[in-house]
Amino acid sequence: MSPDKIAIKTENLTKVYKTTFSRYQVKAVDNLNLEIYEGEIFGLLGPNGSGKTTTIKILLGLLFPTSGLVRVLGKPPDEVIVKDRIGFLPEESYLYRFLNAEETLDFYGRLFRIPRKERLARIDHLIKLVGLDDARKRPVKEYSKGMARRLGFAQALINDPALIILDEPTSGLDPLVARQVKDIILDLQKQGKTIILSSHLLADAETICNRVAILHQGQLQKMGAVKELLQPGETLETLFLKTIQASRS
Amino acid sequence: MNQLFAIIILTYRESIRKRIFLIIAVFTVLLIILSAFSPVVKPIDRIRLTEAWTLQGIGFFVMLIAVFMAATSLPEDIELKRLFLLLAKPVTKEMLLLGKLLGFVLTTGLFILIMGAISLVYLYIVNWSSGHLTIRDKILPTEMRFTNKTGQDAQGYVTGNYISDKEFTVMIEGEGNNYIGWLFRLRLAEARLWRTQSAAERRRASSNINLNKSKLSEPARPTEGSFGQARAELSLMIGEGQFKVSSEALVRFVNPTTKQEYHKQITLSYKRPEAVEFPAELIDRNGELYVYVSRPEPATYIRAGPASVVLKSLGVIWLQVILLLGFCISGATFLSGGVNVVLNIFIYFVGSGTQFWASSLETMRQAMTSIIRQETLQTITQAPAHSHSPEVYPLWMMKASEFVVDSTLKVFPDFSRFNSGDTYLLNGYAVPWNVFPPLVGYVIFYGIIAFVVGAVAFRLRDIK
Repeated sequence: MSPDKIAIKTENLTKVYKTTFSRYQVKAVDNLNLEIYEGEIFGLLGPNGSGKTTTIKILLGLLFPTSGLVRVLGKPPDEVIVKDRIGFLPEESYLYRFLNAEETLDFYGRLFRIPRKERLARIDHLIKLVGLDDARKRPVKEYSKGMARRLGFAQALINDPALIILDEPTSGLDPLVARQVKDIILDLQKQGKTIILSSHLLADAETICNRVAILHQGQLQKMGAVKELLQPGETLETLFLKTIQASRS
Repeated sequence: MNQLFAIIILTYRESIRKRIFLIIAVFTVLLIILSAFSPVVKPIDRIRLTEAWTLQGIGFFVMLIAVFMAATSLPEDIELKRLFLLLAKPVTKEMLLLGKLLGFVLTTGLFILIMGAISLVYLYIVNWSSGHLTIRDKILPTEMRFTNKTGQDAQGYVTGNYISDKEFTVMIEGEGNNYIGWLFRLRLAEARLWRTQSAAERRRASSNINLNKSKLSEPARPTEGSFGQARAELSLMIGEGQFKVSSEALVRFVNPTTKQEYHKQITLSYKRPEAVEFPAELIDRNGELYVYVSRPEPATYIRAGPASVVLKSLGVIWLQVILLLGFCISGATFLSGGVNVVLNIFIYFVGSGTQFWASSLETMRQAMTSIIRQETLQTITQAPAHSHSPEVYPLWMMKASEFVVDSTLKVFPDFSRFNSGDTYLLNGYAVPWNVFPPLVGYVIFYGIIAFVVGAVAFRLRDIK
């Protein structure tokens, strides 16, 4: 982790949602300035509708910003070359229900143009890593929510990404598997990867994030290292609640 | 390439693992089996019916697959947010669209091939006992096949018999090289010039015309020193239920003695007599003249067995499906699944009636020209204006209709071009290879337009 090397930078990033036939507008992200360093675990925190998912979608090039600048790994996010180095786990797994675990990972592996031999080895490794070895041939539609989540986590790592964006990675997982996922995230950091974590589970964020940003109504409320933001004896949860209440008032 | 292949295979897997695919496949097979019970007398009729029935069934069901799967696939990905994950990978939106299109081209192609194979095997099994299957022979250009109103052979008309009745009905059958010919023997007493008929007489004559009727007014008997242009009046019509109200025809005038000939291509319209002029020297010394009417571009037919015919017809069906798939995929980039399904059914329905609209438009244009000519004449001669006939629409209304239909025809793809499989088979002809190049070109042309429109719409769209 080094402040010299910036993985993601946004400057005055704004996204306004407009509906086609009415003047109703929603400012989902409002003048957001973020800097995420290479090799850190960065927590993107905020209540529902605070603009976390919209920010992630912009970082992935899925949404066009209304105004402002975005650079992901030094390039505009809609460039295909950037996506080659990103792994992404969405809020829900959004997998193809008619494919099984092997087919799912093979499909996403092909999208990254991973050679067959390497692809098969990675599929095998990831299936074992997320504990789906027994269910590798079962179609996803038969999976429990936790199993689908684990497969979603595996597909996010199929390309050995430099930047990993995880939206609620532990939701729907039992405590045991959630612990395993957290260990994997810490392990990935040790391998030098940058991780963005969007989560409601503040206790998790507190234990594994190096820095966090708290968003509310699309605006950045607080950003900094977890250790620096917290007063002695304060938890991230209390800080979060205080920040949101202050913003509302 | 690997990425494109991955999307193609994903689309293919998605299609075949859906329950609707299996249901449609089962019903198509059921339809093929049902053809065994067709009420026919001769084995050859059963073969033709089985062919036509199964081909229509496969064509209809594959259209259902195209519309209900291709039109809803991308909207479903967007709705279920699978696209959210997919486009986070190094895949361009254009590649995703192309992959989906090719995936459905592959799926529908395989469906057609498998169902075609089943229907062919079935065709052979059902007709095993009859000992023979349809073989289409080439129809020679010299061969004449035409019948009169009662369906009897009307070949006698060209054997030199004098035609006492100036109006008679014949029907040119089929799509091929059939033609009809008359020998006219002119007698001074009965010669009548078309131009000598009064407007009232002409109207009466026209209103008495039945369908499938050809009328030839005798040309004026040439008198010494007055050789010039003679005229013949023809009114050839198309049978009912053909969805066609005008047709191109080639009229040939041949001197029976010198074999000197003159030909002219004309458009024959529903209930409108067409006048054709020809050089009077074609009437020989005895006052005789041959007149032949045929299609302007006779098709060539080939000798072919059922396997070749069925497979080629299925190829034509597949091309039609590919064209529709282009529109389904394009519409999916900016419409919801339900709206896209309805839009594509609409495009297919209107596009299938294109030939009917085009020929109706041609007839209306001829009528408009005639009305404009009459009005101009009235202006020049300063004759008092007649009141507008209540049986005819006012000119402005026809012009408005012309604008709407003309614009529609320019925009909508012409699906009626792809009826050739049906047309040939139902008439018992083989499907020639030369139907393919223009159809492939047409599909590529419209496919590229649809794809570009879809790609632009998709590129500008936020994936929420």
